[in-house]
Amino acid sequence: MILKGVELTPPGAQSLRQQIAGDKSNASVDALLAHVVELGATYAIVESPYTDRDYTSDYLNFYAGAFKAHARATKRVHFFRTDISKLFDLPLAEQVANLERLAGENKNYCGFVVVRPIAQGPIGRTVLRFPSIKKLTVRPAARADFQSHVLGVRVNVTGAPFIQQDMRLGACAQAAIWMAGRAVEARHRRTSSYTIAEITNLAINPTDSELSSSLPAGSEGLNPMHMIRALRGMGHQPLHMLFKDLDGGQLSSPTIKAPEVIHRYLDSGLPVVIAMADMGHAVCAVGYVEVPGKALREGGTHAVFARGLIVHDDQRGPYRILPLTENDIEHLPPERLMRGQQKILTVEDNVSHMFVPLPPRVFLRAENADIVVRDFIQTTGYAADQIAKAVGNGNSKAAAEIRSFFADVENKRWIQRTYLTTAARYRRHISLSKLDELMKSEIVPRALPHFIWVTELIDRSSKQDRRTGARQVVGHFVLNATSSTDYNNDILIAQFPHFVIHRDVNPVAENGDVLDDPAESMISFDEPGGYLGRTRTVV
Amino acid sequence: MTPPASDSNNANTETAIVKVLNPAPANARRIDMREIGFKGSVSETALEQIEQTDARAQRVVTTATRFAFR
Repeated sequence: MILKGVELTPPGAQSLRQQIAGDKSNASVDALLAHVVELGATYAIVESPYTDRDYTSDYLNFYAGAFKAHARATKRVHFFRTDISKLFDLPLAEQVANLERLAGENKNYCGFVVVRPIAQGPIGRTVLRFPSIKKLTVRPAARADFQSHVLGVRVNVTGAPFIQQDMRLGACAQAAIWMAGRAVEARHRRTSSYTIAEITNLAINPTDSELSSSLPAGSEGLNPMHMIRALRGMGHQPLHMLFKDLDGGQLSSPTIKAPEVIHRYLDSGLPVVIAMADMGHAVCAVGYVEVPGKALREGGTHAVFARGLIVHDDQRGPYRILPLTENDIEHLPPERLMRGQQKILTVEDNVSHMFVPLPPRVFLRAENADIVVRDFIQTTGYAADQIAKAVGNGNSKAAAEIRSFFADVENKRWIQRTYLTTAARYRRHISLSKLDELMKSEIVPRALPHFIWVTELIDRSSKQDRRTGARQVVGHFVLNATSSTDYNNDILIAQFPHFVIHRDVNPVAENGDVLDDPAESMISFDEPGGYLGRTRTVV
Repeated sequence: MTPPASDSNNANTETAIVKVLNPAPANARRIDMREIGFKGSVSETALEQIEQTDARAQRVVTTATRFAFR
């Protein structure tokens, strides 16, 4: 193994670009190098030869059988924020000790790129840190911790995995699925790790006439059915959504708001494969950017605070930004915007399909969870007077605040932020929060299923707590994510200002029989019970 | 090793050594929601909205083969 150091000065970066892409134009390579420079990387180490599991799989499945000889090994490039070249003048034992210390210091290690010996798609398995974007907050979704080794020293990076299509074994669809699948596998450990060749194999079996029109099968793209098949084969429960009406095969105006729907799954820490039918292109959304201040637009979901999605586009590079609407474009860094035929793409105008790799046990979709909560708040509002009297119990302040809360429901003041989580993570967040201690002790011990949807109610004029922090939550709801078409039993906990409604979906009669109708009880509190919501920040 | 079976004769001993670590607050003000005429069933309007979302998901199947992502 040979290690070569490259200073990321303009000539050094150009030399590295030459090593990765040769003389060919490659927007992804240019974007990737610009991204690492923006991360503050000043030094790269090129490790060669490097045996990469993903490329080895591609090699076995295609390149080894080609008449033209293809190289067997890859290179791996590691990026650092400090020039560590002097370290290599030291004795080996000191090199290891110093590298271990340096790699862990102050985000020094920015990540790695595997460089495949494939001219048309040199970028293999890549993990780089998320960017920071001026005046905006980056919220990572497909974030996971990855480890690599330099001279036997373990170095860590947290980011969203990226890969380029090789145009032989797979197209953008497979690359997007790989990026989504690898992030879930690394973070949640509930699925195996699949290479591009393995994803293609899952997508093309059984074959059909469309697949058979390209050789090798699946190399010229996948349709939504093939993508769903691959995701299912990988152990996910794929949720597919179409955002545009079809009119004689042509796409017309959107009927369901793509930004709102996609945002909920990203806010659940899940990657989302999104596709643009008019361009025939699929990418992987790995996060979103939000403003620190008040809501940007009308609407009742958390997407009102978001400007754009952070997207891995195998043809345009890692960490690109797809604005939610045209109005968001001017507020986003132009060099990261996605363009198609000189036009800047947006979620609202261009995204037609969504594929979410949900855990197999989640049966309630986010959109329906959101509808159920909105309806429950409305229904509870009809009984606001009785509740205010019952909760008040001599506390006129609490009664007034309850009435004010429901008046503001009518005024559309509250934003619903709905995300998927586990009961354990929910309990941890509530326990650590500033929620009233009595409310906590009422909520935390409740029996919950493993997967739950949580809907936080947030004031649409609220700002982030400090920079990049969460917003204040005035109430929240817990729904059974493992429930399907049983909407009367979906909500398990409803926390409003000064009261909590608990729904027992397995009530037992005096004779021991389990009753069909859920039992709802209310517990009242002197304190309103505000706290800071869940947040995901770049590390 | 199988743990010893609970012995009702030793209930007092068990009570002394096993205790609930997170008891519900003793002074919580609890109200049965039926007493104030509340039943949190999902409304017809919400069910219609849910049906529309689900119908949209079903239409995906009929249109899925029209596009290829490259």
